[in-house]
Amino acid sequence: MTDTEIAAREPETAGDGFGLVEQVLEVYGANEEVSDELGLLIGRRGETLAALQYIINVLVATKYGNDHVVGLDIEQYRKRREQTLIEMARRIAAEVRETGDVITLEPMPPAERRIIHLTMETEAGVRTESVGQGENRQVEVLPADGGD
Amino acid sequence: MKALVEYLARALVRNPEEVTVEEEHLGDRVILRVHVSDEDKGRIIGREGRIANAIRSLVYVAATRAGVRATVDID
Repeated sequence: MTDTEIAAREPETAGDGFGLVEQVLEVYGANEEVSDELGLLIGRRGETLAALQYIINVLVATKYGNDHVVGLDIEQYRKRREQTLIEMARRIAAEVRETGDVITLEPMPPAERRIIHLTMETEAGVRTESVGQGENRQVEVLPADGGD
Repeated sequence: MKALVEYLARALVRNPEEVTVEEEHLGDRVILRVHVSDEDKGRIIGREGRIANAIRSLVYVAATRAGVRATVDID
């Protein structure tokens, strides 16, 4: 634990949980070896990071009440994932505009779907819906005029 | 691993003095048995087992680093 650095800052983007969380804790390894090892704490598709963020929030709620929601990022995993998702969303929007087809994205956790929805709001000619339940919930991208 | 589970469990419950964690080794498997007061069971399991599963995810990381497989049982 002495090998990590943790910084707290205000949320700035949708991927930080902007509008949802009060503070973002950023965890970095103090050297390259620790940075590599922190990959374990991110886990497959960020699942361990999500578990850690969840438990931190339960602990904070237990101690200070429910109104201090914190976000967590490790080695900028969320930030990098957000960039990937935004770029993908823009590509998909262009394709839907061009073809008029409905495109269904792979299942994603809520925080990632939110990034897609918010990105699509800035894209003309498309709209989004979520379909499916739980772990299989997916974003559908449709032409803004119909498509149902 | 035991210390991690104890830390998390004590921070989550209302009666931390009643938290005990037993560690049992079976070859490369480690079983961690968590006992909390009846009143605190919900606080450590969570809705749909979400808190228990988050604890398991973190223990999985600690176990991977230690080169073992761990299971967390909440009694």
